[in-house]
Amino acid sequence: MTFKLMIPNTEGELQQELMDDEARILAGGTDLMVQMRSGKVAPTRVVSIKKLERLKEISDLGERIRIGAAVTYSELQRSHILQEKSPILLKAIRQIGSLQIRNRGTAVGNIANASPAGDAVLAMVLSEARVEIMGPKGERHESIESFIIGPGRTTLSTGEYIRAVVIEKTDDWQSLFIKVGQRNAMCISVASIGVLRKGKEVRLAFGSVAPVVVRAHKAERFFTREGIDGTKLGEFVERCVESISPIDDVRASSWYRRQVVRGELMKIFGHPDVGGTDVT
Amino acid sequence: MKTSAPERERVVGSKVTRVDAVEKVTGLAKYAPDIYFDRMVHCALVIARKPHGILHKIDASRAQKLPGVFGIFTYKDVPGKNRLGEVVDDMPCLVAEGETVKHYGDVVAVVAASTQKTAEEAARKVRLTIEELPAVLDIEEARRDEIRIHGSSNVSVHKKIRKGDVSKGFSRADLIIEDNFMASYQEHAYIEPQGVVVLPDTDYGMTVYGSIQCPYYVQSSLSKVLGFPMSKVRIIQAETGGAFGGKEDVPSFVASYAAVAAYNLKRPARLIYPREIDIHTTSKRHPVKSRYKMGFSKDGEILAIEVDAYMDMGAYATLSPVVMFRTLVHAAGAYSVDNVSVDTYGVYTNKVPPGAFRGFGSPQVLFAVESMVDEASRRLGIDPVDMRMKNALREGSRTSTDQLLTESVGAVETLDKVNELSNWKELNERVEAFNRGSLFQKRGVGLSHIIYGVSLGAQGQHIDKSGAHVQINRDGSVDVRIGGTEMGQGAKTVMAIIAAEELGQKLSQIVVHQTDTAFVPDSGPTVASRTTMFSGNAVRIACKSLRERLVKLYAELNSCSEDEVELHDGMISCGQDKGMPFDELIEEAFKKNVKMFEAGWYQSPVLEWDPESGIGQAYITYSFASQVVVVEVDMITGNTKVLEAYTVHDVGKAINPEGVIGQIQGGFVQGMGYALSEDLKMLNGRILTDNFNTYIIPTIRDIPRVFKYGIVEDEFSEGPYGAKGIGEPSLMATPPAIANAISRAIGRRIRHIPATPEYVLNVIKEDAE
Amino acid sequence: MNKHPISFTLNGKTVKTQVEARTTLLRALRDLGVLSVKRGCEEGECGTCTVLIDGITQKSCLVLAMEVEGRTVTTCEGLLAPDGELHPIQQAFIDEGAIQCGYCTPGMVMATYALLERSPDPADEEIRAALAGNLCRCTGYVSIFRAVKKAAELMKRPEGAGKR
Repeated sequence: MTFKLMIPNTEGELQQELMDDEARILAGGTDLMVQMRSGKVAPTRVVSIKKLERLKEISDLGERIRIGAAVTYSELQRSHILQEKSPILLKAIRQIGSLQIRNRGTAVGNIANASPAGDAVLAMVLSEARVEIMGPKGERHESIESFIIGPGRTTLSTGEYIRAVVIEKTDDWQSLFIKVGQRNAMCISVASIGVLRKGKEVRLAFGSVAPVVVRAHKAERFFTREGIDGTKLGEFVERCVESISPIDDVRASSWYRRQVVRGELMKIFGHPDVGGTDVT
Repeated sequence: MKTSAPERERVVGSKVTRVDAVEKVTGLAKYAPDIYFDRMVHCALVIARKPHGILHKIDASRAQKLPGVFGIFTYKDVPGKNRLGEVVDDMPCLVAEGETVKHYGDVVAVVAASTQKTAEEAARKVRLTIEELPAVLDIEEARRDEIRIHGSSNVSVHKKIRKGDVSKGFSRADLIIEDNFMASYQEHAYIEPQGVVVLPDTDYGMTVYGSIQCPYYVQSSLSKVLGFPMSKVRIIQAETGGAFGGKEDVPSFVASYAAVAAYNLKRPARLIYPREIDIHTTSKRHPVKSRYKMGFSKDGEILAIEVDAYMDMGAYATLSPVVMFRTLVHAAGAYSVDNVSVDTYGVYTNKVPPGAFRGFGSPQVLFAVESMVDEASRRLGIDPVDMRMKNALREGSRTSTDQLLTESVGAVETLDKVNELSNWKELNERVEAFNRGSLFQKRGVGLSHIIYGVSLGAQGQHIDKSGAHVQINRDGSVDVRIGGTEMGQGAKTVMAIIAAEELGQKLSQIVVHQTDTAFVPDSGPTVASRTTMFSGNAVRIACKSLRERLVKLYAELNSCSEDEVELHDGMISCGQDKGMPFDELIEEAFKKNVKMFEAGWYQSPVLEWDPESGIGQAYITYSFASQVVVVEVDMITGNTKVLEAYTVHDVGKAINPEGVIGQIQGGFVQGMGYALSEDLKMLNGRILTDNFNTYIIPTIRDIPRVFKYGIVEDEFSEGPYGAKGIGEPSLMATPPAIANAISRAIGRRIRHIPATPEYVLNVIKEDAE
Repeated sequence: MNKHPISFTLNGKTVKTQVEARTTLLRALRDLGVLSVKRGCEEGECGTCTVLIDGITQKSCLVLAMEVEGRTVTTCEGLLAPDGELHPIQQAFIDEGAIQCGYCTPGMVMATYALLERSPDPADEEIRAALAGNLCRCTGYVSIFRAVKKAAELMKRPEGAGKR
C-alpha cells in the first residue's frame, strides 16, 4: 500500500492535492493519526496544512471572528480576541484532551472530524458558526449545523477543504459549558451541554447525545415565548430532551445520557441559587 | 554469631536517593524495547478474535507473501510441549488446528518480520477458519454448566474455611445482614506494555531480556516449550516499566511466543505488545461475585460470618487457584470472629484469564466485607471507628483461619492513628455541615480497615524462599544480586540499603544488578509484597558473613578486639583508632585471599495448614491498614471526586521510608481507579476498552487535594530489621473506603465496583423511578 | 517503501535521516537511538512519548516524522548539560522521590520543562493542567506534583537559572 504525505506551500497546491479522492487533510492529527493507526481510515494520501501561513490567522471581523483552519486550540486560548469575545469557546476548549492535544488539535479539525462529542463544535454551534469552504468551484459558506450531517460526515466533496470558520462574538451572552466525562481530565464527553443566555433569549446545544452536536431550537423558542416559571420549567426541559437521541456506547448508556441532560438542565434553570452557574 | 547487626541502624530508615533514579530520569534506562541485537526480527501475534470455537484452519499463505516476512509459526513449530500456565498448565502455547479457541485473545500464531509494522500487517493477513461455538460469558451462565469449557464442570476449584459454628453465631445475633457484591475486572495498565527479546546464546541455549516480574517462571516455562534443560535457558530482567502482578506469569507466555520464532529462525526475536494486544490477551484482576451474611450483637461484636465467593477464571485457570487462596483467607476481613464459614469457587468462562494483580484476590472481598461492617455500624448506630476497634485483631487474637497472632499486630494502632490523622469526629461534622447546605453535591466519609497476609502463605510455602549473591570487588565496589526483581517499587534501593547497613560500605558503592537466573538460584516469584522480607533477608545473611570476615581481618591487622570493630559509611575502625577506608581493607583482604563473595538464602518458616477445614497458619505474619476518605458525589451525574484521603499502614519497619511512602501514594491512586473509573467493558467476550482512551485510569487531576499518611512500625521478628510488606496493602484499603464514603454520601449502599458515575446514578435513582 | 530525507534540529544538533511517509516522529526518534521517547499507547493518551517541537509539548506518536522538517525537537536527552550534569527538573524528580518504574518519567520531565519555560512560578492548578496528559501508574502523582514545585524553586535560584 502506498502512502504519501504532501506538505503544500500554497493553497493552490493544496487544492491540486485534494483532487485525489483518497486524500485526507492532516491538521493537528489528533483524530486522523489515531484513526489511521486503528485502521478505521486508510487514506493513501495525507495533506498537511502546516505550511499554509494564511490558515493560521485569527481575525477580528467586527461582529464576528474568523479562525483559520490551522489555528490550534492553544493558540485560541492565548488569543485576546477569543478571550474577550468568545468565553463559550474558551470554556469548551479548556476541557479538551490534554495540553499536548490542545497544542496540536485545531477547532476546524474538530468540525471536519464531525464527532458528536466535539467540544469545540458545540461551542461553535452555539456561536452560529459559518464554515468557509474552498473548492474547485470556488468558495462557499455553510452554517455549521447544516455542514455536519452525521457522525464523521460533512457536506465536503472531493477537492473541497475548510479554510476557516467564522463565529459570532458572544461576549454579551452569559455562557455555560458543562462536560460530563469519565474523569476530571483528558476525557471524551459522555454528554455535554452548552448554554448562552441574553435576557429572554437562550441558545442550547448538546453533545454526545445524538448523531451530531444538536441545537435545541424548539426549546429555545419555547423559552423566549413562555419562559420557565413554575410548571413551564418541566415543559421546557422536556422540549430540550426531545431534541436528543442518545445511544449506548462504550462510555455510557442512552439511559444515563438522558438522565444527566435532564438533571443538569433542571439544575441550571431551576436552581439558580445553588447551581453555581452563571446563566440564570 | 560474633558480629551481630550494628547496635543502631544508620542507613536503614534514612532518606536515600533511589539507586536507579539517574538512569530513569535521563531516559537512559534500558527497558525491553530499548534492547537491540544484530539480525533481530520483530514479532506480532495472531489471535483468535472469537470467544469460543473450533479452529479448523490457519491459512498464512497471503501473509507469507508480504516482503519482509521471515516466518509464520504455529503449534507445528513448537519444539517442546505446547502448554503454558504456571500453577495449572491448562493453556496451549499456540492453539492447534482441530482444537478449540476458548477466548478472544487466544494466541494462534507468531509472525516474524523485518519491522514491527510488517509483522503486524502480516498478522492481520493470517486467515483463521473458526467454527463458532456458543460462548459462556458470565459467572451465572458458567455455573449452570450447560456449555462446558474444559470438559468437566466449569466450577473447577473450591476452597473453604470452617471455623466454629456459624449457625450458633447467627442464632445469638441481634442483627443479621445479608447482601451481594460484585467487584469487576481491573487492568494493570502498567505504562510499559509487555515485551521481550529472546536470542540464541553462546551456551547454545536461549537468553531472554524482558519486562519481567518473575524470571524463574519464565525460565521453567521456556524450558518446557523449547524442550531445553533449564540450564540452557537464561532470563535477564530488563528494566521493567510497572507490573503490579500483570508481569507475574504473563511474561512466560510472551517469551514463549518469541522463543518459538527465535528457535525456528535461529535469530534474536523481539516481541513488544501494542497496547490493544496487551489488553486483549493478558491477565486482569478477577471479577468476584460474593454473597455475605453477617451476624452482630447490638453492641457491634461480629458473631458470625458466612461467605460464598465466585471468581471468574476466564478460559484458563493459570494462577487462579493460588489467587483464590488469598481470597479465601481475606474474605472475613481483619477481625476476630469465632464463627466463620467461607466458600470460594473458581469458574471457567470464555473470557480473558485473570491472574495476579496487587492484592491478589483480596481487594474484591475486602470491599465486600468492609461494606458489610460499615452497613452494620450504620444500622446499629455505632461509630465506624469504634465498630472496627471492637472487633480488631490484637496480639493473642485468632484470625479467621484460627491462626494465633503472637507479634507485630499493628491493627489497633492504625485505627488510632487514622482517627487522629483525619481528625475523625470533626471531619464528620464538617461533612455533615456541608451536606446541609448543598443540594446537588453530597459528601461522605468512608472508613476501611484491612488485613494483609504477608508473602505466599501456606499454599505457596514450597516456593517461598529467596537467594542472594554478594561479592566485594577489589576496588571496594559491591555487587549485589537477588532473585527478586525491581519493577519500580524500589527493591534495588532497599537491597542496597541493607548491604550498606551490614557491610558499612557507602551506598553509592553498592550496585544491585538486574536479576539474572544465571547468578541466583530459583528465588520464587517477585510477588506477594515479599521482596523486602525474602530477598532482603537473603542479602542480609550474605552480608553478615562478609562482615564477619572483614571485622576479623581488621581486628587482626590492628590487634584489637573484634567486638569493638565498627563499619560505617565506607570506613572501618576500632575504638578510638583513626580507622581505615573500606577499599583499603578490601585490598588487604584480597592480598590475604580472604573469600569476598557469599550466598544468602532465606526460606519461609513452616506453616501448619489444613486445606480441608481451612484452619491453620495461613501466612507467616500480617500487615494492617486503616483508611479514611472524603468523597463528593454529584447527585446529577453520579460522578465521585475523592477530596481527602488519610491512610495509615503497619509495615513492621520502613527500611526505605521514601519507598514506603511511594507505595502508599501509588497504591491509593491505583485503588481509586479500581473503585471509580476503571471499567473494563466487554461485548460478546471481546474487550471494548482496549486502550487508554476508553480504559480510564486516574490522571494528576483526579487525585485528592488532601493526602495524609501515617506509618506504624510494629516490628516482625522474622523480617529484616522488623519489616513486613507494603506493596499490596497500599491498594487494598482504598476501594472499601471509597465505596463506604459514597454509600454514606448518597444514603444508599454501593455494591459494585467500579462505582462509575452511571452505576452510582443508577443507585441514586433505584426507587425513584 | 519509499523513504524520504528529512533534516531537523534534535537536541541542538542537526540530524539528517530517511523516513517513510507513515513513520511517526516517535518511531523515527527511536530509530535514531533517542530511546527516552517511549511508546505506551500510541494513540495520544499516555504521554510517555512527549517531546518539544519548537518549544511546544507534543505527543510524538501523533506527529509524522516528515512534519518536523526544519524544526527543532527536544527530548529528555537534550536537557543534560554538556558535562552531563542533570537539569534542575531532573534533580527535583530525584529529590522528591517522583520516580518509580521510570517509564513515564522522561515524558513527565518534558511536560514539566515546557510548563516552567512558559510559567516559572506556576499555580497548583496550572501544574495539574500541564501534566494531565501524562499518565503514571506507580507514584499516584503526589511526588510528581511536589517535584514540579521543587523544580520551579530550583530554577529560580541564581545557580539554577544558569542552567539550560
